[in-house]
Amino acid sequence: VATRGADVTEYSATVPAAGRGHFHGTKAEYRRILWRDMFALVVTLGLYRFWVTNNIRRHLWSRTELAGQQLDYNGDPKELLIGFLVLLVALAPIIIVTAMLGWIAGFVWGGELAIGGLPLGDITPYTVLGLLIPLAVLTLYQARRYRLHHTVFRGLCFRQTGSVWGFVLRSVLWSAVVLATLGFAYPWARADIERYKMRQTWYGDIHGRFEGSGGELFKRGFLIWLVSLILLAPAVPLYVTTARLDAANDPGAIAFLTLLILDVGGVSLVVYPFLRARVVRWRIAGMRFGALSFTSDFSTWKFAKPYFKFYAWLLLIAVVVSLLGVILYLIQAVLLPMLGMAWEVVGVISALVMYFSTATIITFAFQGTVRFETWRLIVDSLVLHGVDQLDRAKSSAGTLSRRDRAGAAINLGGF
Amino acid sequence: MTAQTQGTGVYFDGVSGAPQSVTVTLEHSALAIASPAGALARWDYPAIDALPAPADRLRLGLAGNRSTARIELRDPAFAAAIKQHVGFDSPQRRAGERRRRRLVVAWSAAGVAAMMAIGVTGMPLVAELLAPLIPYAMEIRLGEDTHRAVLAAFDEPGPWECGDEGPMERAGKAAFLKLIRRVEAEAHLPIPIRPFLVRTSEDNAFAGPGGFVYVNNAFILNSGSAEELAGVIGHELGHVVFRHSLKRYLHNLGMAYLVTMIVGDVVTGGGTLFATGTVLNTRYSRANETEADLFGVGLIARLGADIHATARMWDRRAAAEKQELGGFRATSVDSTHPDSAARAAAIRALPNVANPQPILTAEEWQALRQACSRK
Repeated sequence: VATRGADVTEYSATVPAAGRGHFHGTKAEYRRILWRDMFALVVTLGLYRFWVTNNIRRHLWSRTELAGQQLDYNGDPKELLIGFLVLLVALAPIIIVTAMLGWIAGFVWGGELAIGGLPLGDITPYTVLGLLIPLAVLTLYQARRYRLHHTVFRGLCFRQTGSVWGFVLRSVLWSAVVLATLGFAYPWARADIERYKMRQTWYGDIHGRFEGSGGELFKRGFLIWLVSLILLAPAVPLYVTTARLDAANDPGAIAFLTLLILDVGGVSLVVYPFLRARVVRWRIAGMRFGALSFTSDFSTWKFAKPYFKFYAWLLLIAVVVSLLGVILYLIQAVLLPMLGMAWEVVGVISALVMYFSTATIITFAFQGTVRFETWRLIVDSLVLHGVDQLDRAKSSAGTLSRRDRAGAAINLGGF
Repeated sequence: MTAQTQGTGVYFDGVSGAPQSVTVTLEHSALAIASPAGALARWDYPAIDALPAPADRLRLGLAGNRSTARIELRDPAFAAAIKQHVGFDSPQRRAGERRRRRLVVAWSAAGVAAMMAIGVTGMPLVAELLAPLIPYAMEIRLGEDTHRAVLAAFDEPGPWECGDEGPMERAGKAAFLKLIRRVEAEAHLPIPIRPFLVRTSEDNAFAGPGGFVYVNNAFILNSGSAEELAGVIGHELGHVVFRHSLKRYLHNLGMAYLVTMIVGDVVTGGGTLFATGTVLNTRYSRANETEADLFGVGLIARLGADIHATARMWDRRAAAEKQELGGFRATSVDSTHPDSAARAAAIRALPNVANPQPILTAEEWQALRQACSRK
């Protein structure tokens, strides 16, 4: 017969689940995972990123408790690697065909054939980019499918159904509209896309939907949009002036260019976290799974703070990398006469290590600041309404079909 | 004190989202899960996985994603008993996990190294094999595209091409064309070249795809004799005959794809290419330069001119480079051309022609030096 300590709280299914989110993780624990994986990532030139993704998700999910029950992530990094390889194979003909097409077009019609004053050969790179953007949107949406399918809550999985092409088409068209209206249409674009996404989302047999409206988001973000538009206005004359001056030789052009970068970069970096905080709160408030709904009241400032920490990291990394660059250059100057051509090998290795270390440190600085702290803030502020709906959820038939698994694994491998 | 063999927990059966209060019993070969209504499941010990969870609880599932059923226990004493019984947290299990992680890292690193090796040795081969399949007409179109990009880079005032601003320029251009045609006649090229005399202070001569050859005015002024210049023109014709520009285009396209493959930098491949591509591509480029050097010297020899003139030019350049860099040799990881001193030595190692003849008359050489004088 079991003996139990009197101080152990009885933990049972009948304890009424508080409808709140709670994050159990600590920064120290999370940092340990990042440090451990950082070295592996650099040594494998980034190929280990699928395992890093898996480790980070397993950790964050398992520390996230919603209404008394935690999430599990049960993805497999090998599936992500295979999905990435599939994407590369799919990408190869696209790259080759577009490269050849531009060439053949130039061959057939001659270099003189131009669209809008641009020779065909000069347009080719943009065609490739035009194909890559929808492809990137597609892989992002497929990555969401994989994430949902491998998120287990109360013994049931989430799911994403339906076609990915509808999402790609919608995103690309809406992006064009948002650009054309200088961002004015963003709230309605976002609402439409969120409705589409949630319509394709399931928890077990409970169908998701999105009830947030574009008008509501517009109200929440209008002031920020207006202020940033006013702050960005000087960028137009600055750009025109810079373009007119001879950038290579005119010190004035460099001054204008610096001002332009400061204006656009500064405004974007400062405004983005505040805008994103509003969008996230609005998305949470609009999300529904049957009778289940959510609210979140995290403070905008607390949400923005990790972004500024990340910017500080970026600044520090830039200073350190520049210093290291100078030191490496001096070392090269000394070692070159001694090593001769063997220097080439040393040079290749140090350039690679330098590049990947920098990229990895930046990524991990982001993970340690923005990713972790905003996640914790959102989870801790979450309130769930209608939790009893979850008791009635059933797993849906064919939750993890083979086709969905294979399709869902297509990814770029970002975390 | 005997280990605790029974405790309570919460069970999700993977079919319903409703939690069930259960009694969990450690049996001989399996974990028995039962509700007051009766037995629910028996999990064999080897099939049980401990899932990541906060420190205050033990969370179990079935290994290999066969089911999403979960059981969670919050009684620390019973959790410890299960851990001990099943062997979670045992040194062997932890060592096993570490070994698996190291294996993944080792295999990934080996995979990356293998891909790099394929890139360095295989890509030049691929470029060599593919280039003959590309018709010359296509290469010429590529050359025209490149030509437009080249023109955009010239920023001297006035017409970029020399030879038409006055009588001295016209005489200079005639000498330039005579020199080029003499060398070209010996080269037996598959396509005619399109030579350009460029008005710029940049000290360079280069060849693009499709027979486009550019000689900059500054390069002519820095040459000591017509033979030196002819050696360099011969070198550029070597690039044309071996289709080096086309091969480099194919080679770099392949390398870009390979690097993308490893790094996954599909959308923003630029930064990666800068770091890795440049370094690996220049290796291939240097091999081409050496090939073109030998071809150029061969042409000069067939013209019966002094081949060591080219070596003298490289010597002079090596000295200038040494001075610029404060005594250090100029070749670095990112240079596409071999070391100037090494090029000079390679040429000097070849036997010179017996009785070298001048390639241009002294008057013609002086005229050529005035081809961009604007007079």
